[in-house]
Amino acid sequence: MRSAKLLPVWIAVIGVSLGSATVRASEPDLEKAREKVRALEAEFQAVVAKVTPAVGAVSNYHATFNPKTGQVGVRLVGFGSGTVISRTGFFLTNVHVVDKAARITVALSDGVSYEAELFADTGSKGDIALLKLHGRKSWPFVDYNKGDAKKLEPGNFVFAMGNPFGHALDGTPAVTLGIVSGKSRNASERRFTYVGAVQTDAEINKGNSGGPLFNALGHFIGMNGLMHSTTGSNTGIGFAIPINQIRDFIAPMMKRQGKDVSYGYHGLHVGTAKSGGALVRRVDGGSPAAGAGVRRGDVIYKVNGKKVENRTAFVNVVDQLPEKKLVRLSFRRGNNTKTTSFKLGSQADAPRQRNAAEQALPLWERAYLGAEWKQVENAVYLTRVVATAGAGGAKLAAGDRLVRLGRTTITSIDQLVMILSYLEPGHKTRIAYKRDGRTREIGIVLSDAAEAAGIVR
Amino acid sequence: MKRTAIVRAALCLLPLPAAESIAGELRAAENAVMKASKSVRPTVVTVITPNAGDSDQTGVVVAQGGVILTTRRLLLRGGHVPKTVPVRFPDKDKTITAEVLADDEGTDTVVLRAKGARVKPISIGRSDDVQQGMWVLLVGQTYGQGRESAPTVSLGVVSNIVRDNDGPLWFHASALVNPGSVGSPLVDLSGDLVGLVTARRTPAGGQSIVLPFDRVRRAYRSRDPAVAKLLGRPPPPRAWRAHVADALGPVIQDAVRRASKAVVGVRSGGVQKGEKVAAAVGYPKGMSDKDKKRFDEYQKRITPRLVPGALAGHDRASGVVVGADGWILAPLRATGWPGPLRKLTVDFMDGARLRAKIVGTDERLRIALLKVKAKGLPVLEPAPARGLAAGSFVVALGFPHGSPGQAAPQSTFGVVSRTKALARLHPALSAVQTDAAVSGGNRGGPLIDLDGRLVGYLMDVNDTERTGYFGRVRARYGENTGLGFAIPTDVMAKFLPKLMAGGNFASGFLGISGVPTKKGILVQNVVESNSKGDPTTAKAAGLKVGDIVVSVGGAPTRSIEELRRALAPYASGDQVEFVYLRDGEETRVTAQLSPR
Repeated sequence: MRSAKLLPVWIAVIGVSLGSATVRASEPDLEKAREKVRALEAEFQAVVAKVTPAVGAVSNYHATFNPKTGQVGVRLVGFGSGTVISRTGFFLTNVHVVDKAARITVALSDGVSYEAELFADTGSKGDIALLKLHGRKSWPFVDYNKGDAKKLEPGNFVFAMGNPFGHALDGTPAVTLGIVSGKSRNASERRFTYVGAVQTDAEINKGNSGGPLFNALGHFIGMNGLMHSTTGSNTGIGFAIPINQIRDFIAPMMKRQGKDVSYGYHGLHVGTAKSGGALVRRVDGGSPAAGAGVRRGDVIYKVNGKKVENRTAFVNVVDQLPEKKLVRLSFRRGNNTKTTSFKLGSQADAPRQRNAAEQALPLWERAYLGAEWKQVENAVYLTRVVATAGAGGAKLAAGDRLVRLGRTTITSIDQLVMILSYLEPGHKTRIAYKRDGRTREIGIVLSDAAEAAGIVR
Repeated sequence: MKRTAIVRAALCLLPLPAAESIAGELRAAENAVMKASKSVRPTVVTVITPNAGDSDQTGVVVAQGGVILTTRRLLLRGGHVPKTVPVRFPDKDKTITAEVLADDEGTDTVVLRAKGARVKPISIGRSDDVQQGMWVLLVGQTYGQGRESAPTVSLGVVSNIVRDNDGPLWFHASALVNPGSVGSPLVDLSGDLVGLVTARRTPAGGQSIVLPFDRVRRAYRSRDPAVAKLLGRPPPPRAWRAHVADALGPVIQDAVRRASKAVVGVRSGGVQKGEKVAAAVGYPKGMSDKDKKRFDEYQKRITPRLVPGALAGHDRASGVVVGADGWILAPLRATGWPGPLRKLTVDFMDGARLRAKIVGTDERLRIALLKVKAKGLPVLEPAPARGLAAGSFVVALGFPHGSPGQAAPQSTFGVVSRTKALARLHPALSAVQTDAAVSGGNRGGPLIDLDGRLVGYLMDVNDTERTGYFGRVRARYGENTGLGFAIPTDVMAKFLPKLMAGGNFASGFLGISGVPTKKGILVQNVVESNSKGDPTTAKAAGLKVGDIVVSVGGAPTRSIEELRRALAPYASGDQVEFVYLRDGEETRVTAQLSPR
């Protein structure tokens, strides 16, 4: 392997290394080395330049509502990244980036901030969200069908692009270079579990979430979303959802505006069987797997034609699929082997506790009184009235005491907020107020809280 | 044959995007990394640590018959090395019990033997030949992530080497490490073992401290020759190939050699051995007299052992010579400004230490211009601004301890993440952002290109995360996040004359919070007084809740970002014109910007 021909060069190398700073590589070598590194740099720059226009910085505005004063508004609460994946302006990002957003804007490298709407997402369990951008006819994009994350191996060059810490808000994304550290990783956070994720040492920080991971060809191979960190800053362990997994969701998402395309629900709880395979520990009643006849104690050894040796392998195959996908299982029961198949259900079918807070209307769909208030003992007084909205239209003024809204006598702020949160904008009712010791009653049309907050829809 | 030609011709006519194949060097480098990673991964094992709370560590098979090398300190039980240690081989679910053959406290290593393990050992390299700037690969566990699958890999470069008479004593590598990677092998791009990761954090943050393998072998030679024999002999030196995998080292080394002459260490205050620390940094708030006494005693005891710079937190950094007649640019925070000034000194590579005084400061850019009495100092040639783009290769230089000592500056390699960054600090700033590790002592040092020319001055902006948009996120001081920023040389040239003239610039404070609307910023809250109790700009200008700020200094303010940028060119004390809407009527007012 080490040919004798190269001996003279060895001596030169010894000179370099032992002589520390005094002896250096001979000039021709340095020139050659520089040539190589320059070429490497130029190639990398070209790949980065090619994909830059399709990478965007996401701003997430939350609606704010102060129940103590009645003040409404929007507040910039978070940043993220994302990628334009179609000429028509479909934009891929993480669910946790656009969480509870009242307004979303996406800045591209042309320096313009575009309005975006949430088109569809994976719901609470997954982390894939599809946005639709507005404001242009044709968009620069990267082809999400080109990259193949399955072909990645540890050591492949990858680079991440995005908006770490909200620094790239003007739209020019930041690029960080690294390699694939591992693949088929399972990483979880409180809310999400990434199954079959790509692990990279390309520096990923808060704000990189939703941003693309590219390979050396500039192919879109994953969406960054999680990092392993105790401090919130990078530790060299970042995770991306592989593009192959995302692709299964994009087509149904593009068809189903405003609805979830959730990860598939099967209802199986498995462990690793001693004999190899996934041992079914429990099956949810009424779940797709139960309907297909899978029972506790069955040992699954094949899923969709792929052998599964343990629990991880089973999870890696099944938990990456979207709802409605067909799953074929081969399993052992006693001495028999059986095969069955079923369509994955939606995560919404999974037994879980519904959160009561989800029932009330979100702020941007709530009615707005057009006033701010304060409570003095058992009385609610208006402190500021917006001339153009609800209360202002009804000629109420600051200092008025609110007596009744509809048929309810108002005795506390909590009560008022509760009522408002269940009414829709445009709702007509009557309002009673007390001014200079006299109580009057007048008709009122409640306004739109979102409009008042400055939310663009 | 003919048909293929036609198909090809047809394909050529399609509007395909730019060339699809990666040309030579990127692929060549990638192939080298992958090949090395593939050959090393099967030799890496998980070593189960006995104490709950420690993450499992990594070990590497260095010889036939399952001979494993790993680090020692986490394996101790009751201060002693146990007789056996459980290890897990990659892609195996079961653990194997390995016997301890020997251990060495000096190098903090243990040699184990896992009988019956048929694993091809790692190929051994020459750690004495490790060069600054060369590519290295770290292969190991991360937080026990490797339990169910193969170990992970991380790419970095050797950022500096500390030598004694026997060769390298230890080196830093910028490959990012975590608790589980203690004991991980560090290999070159031929897949040859050059070192063992012994610790994860250095003053430079996020980097590994690597023990050269030749050191380990020498240590066992005197302690246990039989074990030393198992560790083999160093292979003959390898030829330098004209291959991209071998190219980065010499190029970086040459660039560092050219640029290091203009890098200096900057220190202010600083605590002498035995000195009362509180005199320099103050006591923690609300401390009782009794505790103050204990605090002083404790500090006296530990001060000599502390890493310089760690004590006062931020009194040491690097700087760059910007004028031959003694002008030095340094991070503002490192100079101790504006606190009571203690001794401010600048250390040069040749060992000279000179007193420095602060001539000008800019809080917005977080820099201070210092002057020392010197003539004919080396100044770096600026890199052409035009060639710089996202993806350009750069090296961050600096002294991790804030002073040169004997060593060459630490060099961390990275790419330009973006240009024109940090516009919100100052619109003219147009900073260069890099993923090269910038932390601790190398703040204030130069960012150079691969020809050793100056790209910019590394800024001290680690705290932007804290004051920035994510209230909860904070990088601890000195911690690398993968975001380094440098002030480009051409931008600095515009600021320098003002600083040389003794200018002190601080950012102004408006004192409103609001939301963006189509017309401007809708004021939702007005802060009445600043930290000194003086009225804020907003209060002085008469702004009220419900007003819409349309423009500041003539620049429209339709978003928070626009407002920030409109304000950024002004320093506190400047007169600024505000235009706002109140009840639909436009009002103009000029107010003096208050300090924060």
